[in-house]
Amino acid sequence: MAQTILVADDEPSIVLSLQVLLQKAGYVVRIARNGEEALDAVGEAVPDLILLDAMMPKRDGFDVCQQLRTRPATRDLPIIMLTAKSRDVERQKGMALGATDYITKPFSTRDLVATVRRHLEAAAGPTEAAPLPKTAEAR
Amino acid sequence: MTGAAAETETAARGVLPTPNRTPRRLLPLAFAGLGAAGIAAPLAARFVLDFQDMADPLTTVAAIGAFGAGAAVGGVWLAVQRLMVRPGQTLAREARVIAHGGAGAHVPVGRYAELSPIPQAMNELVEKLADARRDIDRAVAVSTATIHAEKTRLAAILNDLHEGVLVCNLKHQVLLYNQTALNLLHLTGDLGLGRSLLTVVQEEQILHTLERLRLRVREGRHRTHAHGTTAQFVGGTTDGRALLEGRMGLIMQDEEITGYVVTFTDVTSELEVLGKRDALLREASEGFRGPIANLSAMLETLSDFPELEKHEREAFETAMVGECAVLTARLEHLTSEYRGIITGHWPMNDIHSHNLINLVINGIPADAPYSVMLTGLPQWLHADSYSLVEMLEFILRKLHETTGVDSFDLSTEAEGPWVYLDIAWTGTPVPSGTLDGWLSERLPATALGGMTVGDVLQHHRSDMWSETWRDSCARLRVPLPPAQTPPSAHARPPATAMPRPEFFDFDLLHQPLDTSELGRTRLDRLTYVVFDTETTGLAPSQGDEIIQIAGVRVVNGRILTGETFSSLINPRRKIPPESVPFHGITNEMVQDKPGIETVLPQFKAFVSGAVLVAHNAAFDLKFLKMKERVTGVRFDNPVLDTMLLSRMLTGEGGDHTLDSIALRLGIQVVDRHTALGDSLVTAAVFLRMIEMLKERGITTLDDAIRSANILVELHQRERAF
Repeated sequence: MAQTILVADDEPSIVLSLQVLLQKAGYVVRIARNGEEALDAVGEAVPDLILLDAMMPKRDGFDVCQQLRTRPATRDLPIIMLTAKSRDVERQKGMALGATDYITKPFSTRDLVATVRRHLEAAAGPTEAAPLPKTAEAR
Repeated sequence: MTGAAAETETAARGVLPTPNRTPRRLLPLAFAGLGAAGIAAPLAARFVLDFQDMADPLTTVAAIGAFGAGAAVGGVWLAVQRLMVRPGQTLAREARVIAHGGAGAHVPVGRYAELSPIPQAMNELVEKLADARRDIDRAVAVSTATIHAEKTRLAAILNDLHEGVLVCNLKHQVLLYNQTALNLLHLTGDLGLGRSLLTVVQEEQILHTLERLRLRVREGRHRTHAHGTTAQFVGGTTDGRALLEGRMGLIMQDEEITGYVVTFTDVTSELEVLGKRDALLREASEGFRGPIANLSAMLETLSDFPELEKHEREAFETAMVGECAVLTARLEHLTSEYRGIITGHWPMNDIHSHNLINLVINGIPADAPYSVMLTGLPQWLHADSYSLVEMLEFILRKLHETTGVDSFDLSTEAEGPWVYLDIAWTGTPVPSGTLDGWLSERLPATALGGMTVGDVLQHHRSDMWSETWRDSCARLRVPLPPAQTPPSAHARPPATAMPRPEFFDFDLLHQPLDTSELGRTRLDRLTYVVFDTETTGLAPSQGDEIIQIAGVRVVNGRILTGETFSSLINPRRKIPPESVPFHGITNEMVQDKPGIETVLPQFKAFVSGAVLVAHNAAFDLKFLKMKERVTGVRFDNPVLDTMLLSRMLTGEGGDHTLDSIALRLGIQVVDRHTALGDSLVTAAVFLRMIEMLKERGITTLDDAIRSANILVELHQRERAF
């Protein structure tokens, strides 16, 4: 069965591109237009991966990410954060709050699809190397 | 005769403002006595003669003579009264007038015929006095002229300065100001000598900076600090009309702070511009990324999938035209706003994290329902301390209100490109959404002109988040830029550590197992004092002495940086000059310090109930042991040695100096090579070691001592062969 990807972003044009791209790559795509919708969508059915925009109305991506990590069903779900903020601090914050990976806009769509595939494979096969290294150990 | 003597004495003392009056009455009394005697003597003679010859004519003559003599004496008294006593009194009055009056006054000699030598002498005295006064006046005039010239020159320099200059005493009363200061501040209020600076400049920033500098001087750090007794600040005028960027310098007399100098410039427009520029830059970087991302994604999709249906392609085309319109509009806005923007900087300083955190702690009201403790190793970071302190105090209050937690730890940690400022507590993290809500809240400090938490973070190119940490703990992290000057520039020039002999004086380290509760307590639950000593040399048996002892308490795995002991000790001998580069302590620094017999009992009280920890503990213990008899202080606390533990954990080979171990464990240190600095590093090393020991099943104090003893015995055996 095809894997499901939840795309949470408030900008219709990026959603349009991602939808076509990911569908062509063989994934089922669901859409959420803000943070609340994203949480609701995950509540209905847990996707295999989430592409999560950092800046969204009604709960930003950081908040959504932190919320999802507190729920047992989504504790290990791959979450890739997308953001227009390029500062290293934002990346650090995203990783600290539980993001699996962090992609800065603009990005290459080919790289994005490759990254999505890599994380899905890593999540599916526990024999693979552990998920991407998280932040330097908190201490 | 005695009466006259008394009179002379009184005359000599006549300069006194209240002359003794009694002797003056003696003179008329003496003359009255004489007169009475003149009358009484012939009468008495006649009474005696009456027995022999009752009608002797001689007796009558004698009686008349006696009366005559009496009258003469009376006359003489009147003359003396007129010619000497009264002129004497007048002369005294005149002398007093001259003493208090102006120059050129003379006593008219002719008026005192009988006493003429006295007024003459007095006139000579008057002239000498006048001469002396003239000399003083001349000298004063010369000095005044010099001072005036210097003052004019200083005034010219001050008025020529682009910066406003103010000199104040510790009551903030203005003692001096220049024209620029007046120009900048006169619209706000009356700036005048003796008036308080705080009526025109917002007090928060002035008091904060003064407190920072006082702390620096109190701890003696101004001697090695790159900025000595000065510090930068940003403050506002009390009416919020102008933002001032300034520098405060302490005025010190004999190590005593007597006042301060403030130099400042008006940076209101500059900061306004900076704020705008910041916003524009943000807009440029973030506002353009989105549309560009969308466009490129759509383009790539179109080119990768040429087989798309017509209606699909049309949807893409419409969206791309829309994105282009957004981009164009943003670019137009940016160009129009950018006009006239000049460059500048946000005034930021290199700050020692402990000073920053102490300022936060000092700023928390005594009746606040929560407490904050400084923990961990210090770091240097680059920040605007005032706005940061205000922000942290605000966040602590919000954290308490949100979580109900009443005890927070504040620490810093260098990691990657940042120095993290961490607020830690027992409990769960604060959700990101809640923290975002705080970003738009205005800080209460009026000096910050309504800045929000987000503004302060933005100025520091920072953000904040809250995450889980260790078991059942959470922390809020604020990543900040590290200091721009390398830490070594802030510290004493580092000397390579003096190679201490490795002491395996086994009696010192071979300890009986502690069968009490202490011995069974988990290592991470014990209270420790991690300590270090500085000494005049390496050989206690050959007269080397302790010159500094310092320690820090470690409780439940936290380095309580606020609970430290540090004391210099007078060794009552010369400190060898060749040892000074290693500890930086000179003879002058210890000459007025207490001796070992005073300090060791204090240190004993500090370490009471704690397990002692030191690097190469046997070295320090040997010195303490040597002093047992003199001081009567015995340290029977259990001891752990980080050097011995290092050998246990990483094997005998390799380098077990404190520097190498810290480097291996990734512990970044500043302030090395002072007793307290070394104690802090040792404490950080020790905490890591506790975790490493736990992995090897060494969890209690008894376990640790038992393992150490085994290693010690091995060494003993090796040495026996």
